[in-house]
Amino acid sequence: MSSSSTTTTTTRLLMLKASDGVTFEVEEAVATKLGAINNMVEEEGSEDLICLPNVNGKFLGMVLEWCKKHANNNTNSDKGNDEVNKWWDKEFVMDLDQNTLYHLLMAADYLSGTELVDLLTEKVASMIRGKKVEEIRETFKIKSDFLPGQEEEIRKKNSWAFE
Amino acid sequence: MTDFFDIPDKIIAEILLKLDIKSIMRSKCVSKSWKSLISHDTRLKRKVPLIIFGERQEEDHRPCPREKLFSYGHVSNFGLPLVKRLPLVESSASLVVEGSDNGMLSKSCSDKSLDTEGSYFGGSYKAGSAFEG
Repeated sequence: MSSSSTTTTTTRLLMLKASDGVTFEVEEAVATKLGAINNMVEEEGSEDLICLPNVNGKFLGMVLEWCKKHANNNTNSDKGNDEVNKWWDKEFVMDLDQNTLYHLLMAADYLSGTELVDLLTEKVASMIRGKKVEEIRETFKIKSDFLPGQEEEIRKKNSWAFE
Repeated sequence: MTDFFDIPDKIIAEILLKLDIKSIMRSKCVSKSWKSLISHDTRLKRKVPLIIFGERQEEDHRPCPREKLFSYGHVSNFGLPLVKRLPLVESSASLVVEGSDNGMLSKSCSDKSLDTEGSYFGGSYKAGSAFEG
């Protein structure tokens, strides 16, 4: 066997446990892309098992998948990395159904995955941008709870936004 | 099944903050909770213009060359003026609402002659407060 292992550094593995008991073994460098985990690692030091009671396994898995991609891409100091990340991000959010999107967004927020929150909020924003009020309501299944006339009043006051 | 309503306001505000000003104002019409969020979230309030348009106030006697727009005083064309005078702003044939930050405002000035009473204007005013609407 070759001794090519000189180039690999020993990376610490963390065990992340989701609310439904599903566990993930993740490299520290990947998991610490999440601010919340980074804090726990720094504060608690030697703890290798981290329990995350607010995220279930499915969504934690997806968040970690995203972290892994970004952590890997960032290790190569290649100029094309930004492009690769962007392309991969686009793929990542492209086919998310709304239910998954919301859960992911809340998981990413809970875990302080700032970049991922940014990506997902932008995805939701793109579903609102330039749309008519009725279209927004339909997209998000929101029922208008204004009293008769109230909505009209807002429209009248801000007619420029509805041109 | 998660509903959009389950998303905390904090995150909805993050989403709305990514929108252009027109989309934010339209979002005010979506529901009471969105309206309330847009009217009360500090950062969203800063994005929403303080003043959109109004009429030149009678007591404003500053000379107003053709290439300048009037100063404005009315908040959102309603209610009591919060600001007596705004800086005179360079005009163009029509100002378009392009965006807003930190109380910046804008509004199309239409085809009315700029120095007649009642022409619309736009200007900027550095304040971080939204009008009620």
